[in-house]
Amino acid sequence: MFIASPAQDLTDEEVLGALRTLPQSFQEVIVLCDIEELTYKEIAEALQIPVGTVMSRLHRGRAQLRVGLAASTSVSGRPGRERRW
Amino acid sequence: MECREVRELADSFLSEELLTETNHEILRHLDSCRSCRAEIDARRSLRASVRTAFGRVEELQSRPAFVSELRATLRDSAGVAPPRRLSAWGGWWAMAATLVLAAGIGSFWVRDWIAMAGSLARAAVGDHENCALHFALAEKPIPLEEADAGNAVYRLFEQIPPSDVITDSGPAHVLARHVCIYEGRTFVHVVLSYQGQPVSLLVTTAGGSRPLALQTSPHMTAGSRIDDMAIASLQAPGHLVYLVGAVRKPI
Repeated sequence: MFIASPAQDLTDEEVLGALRTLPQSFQEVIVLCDIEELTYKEIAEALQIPVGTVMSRLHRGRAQLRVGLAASTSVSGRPGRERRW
Repeated sequence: MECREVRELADSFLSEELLTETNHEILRHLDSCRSCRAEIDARRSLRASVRTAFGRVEELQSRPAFVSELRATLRDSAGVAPPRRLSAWGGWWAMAATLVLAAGIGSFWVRDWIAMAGSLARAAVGDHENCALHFALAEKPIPLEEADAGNAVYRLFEQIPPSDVITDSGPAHVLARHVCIYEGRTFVHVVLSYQGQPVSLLVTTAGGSRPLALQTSPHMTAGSRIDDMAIASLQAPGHLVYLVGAVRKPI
């Protein structure tokens, strides 16, 4: 499976813009995990979902975020990279 | 450990959610696998970019006590096992109340979760301002019991929340329950009084045909602020629920 890696010099607007394009359910776990630094268990309790769902949403959300950022940096003319999983 | 396993566990590894033994296995693999090291670095870099982007935008800064209060709430709620049928609503109310009411509407200042910039949240704030604060709606609100006509959602909010809601930081009292229309959008609107200020609980459809059901856990979506209004949002099947009240700057 190929997944793109975004350019390294991302702007804040690019990052927040890509995050906005994710489904809300993905946004909320990413924010709770990466920004608020809650544990998976705490996120699961806050959102009333299983820990496994937290993990899968994080995984899928981050993957989509990378794809979105790679696409946006590619469109803006800056090089992204393709990586094989 | 194989590359595929490492990549499956990479996010949990970066979040320090793995057992020590598993961490050691991954670290051993990374010692000898440049490709996986690069993958881990890319994911770490992405997280750092997200964190940095949030950190640089002033209005996205959270009140420092937010996470500790959230954790305290989770600890408290973990010790209480409400009846199954009520747990979803109880959880919703506990969370909303914590974020907006129990946290203190006056000092409510959480991170502006980006999902909340949508037009629906703005409409909810507009309805709160025009209906609950200024009584300036184009169409007169209809009391819920009159509007009912078999609508399950309307009927639900005839009883919920109860007339008096006790929160950790004081009581909230229901002033009115009605259906109102703001800029063409219909809201179920429950107006509460909390610490001398009106707070609106607003429910509106969000597409789809699935009915709002208490036994289905709604997802807390966000705490935010729009136009000096604090807003907490929850997503339920086919519906969005907002709690809106006035905001003051944090102390």
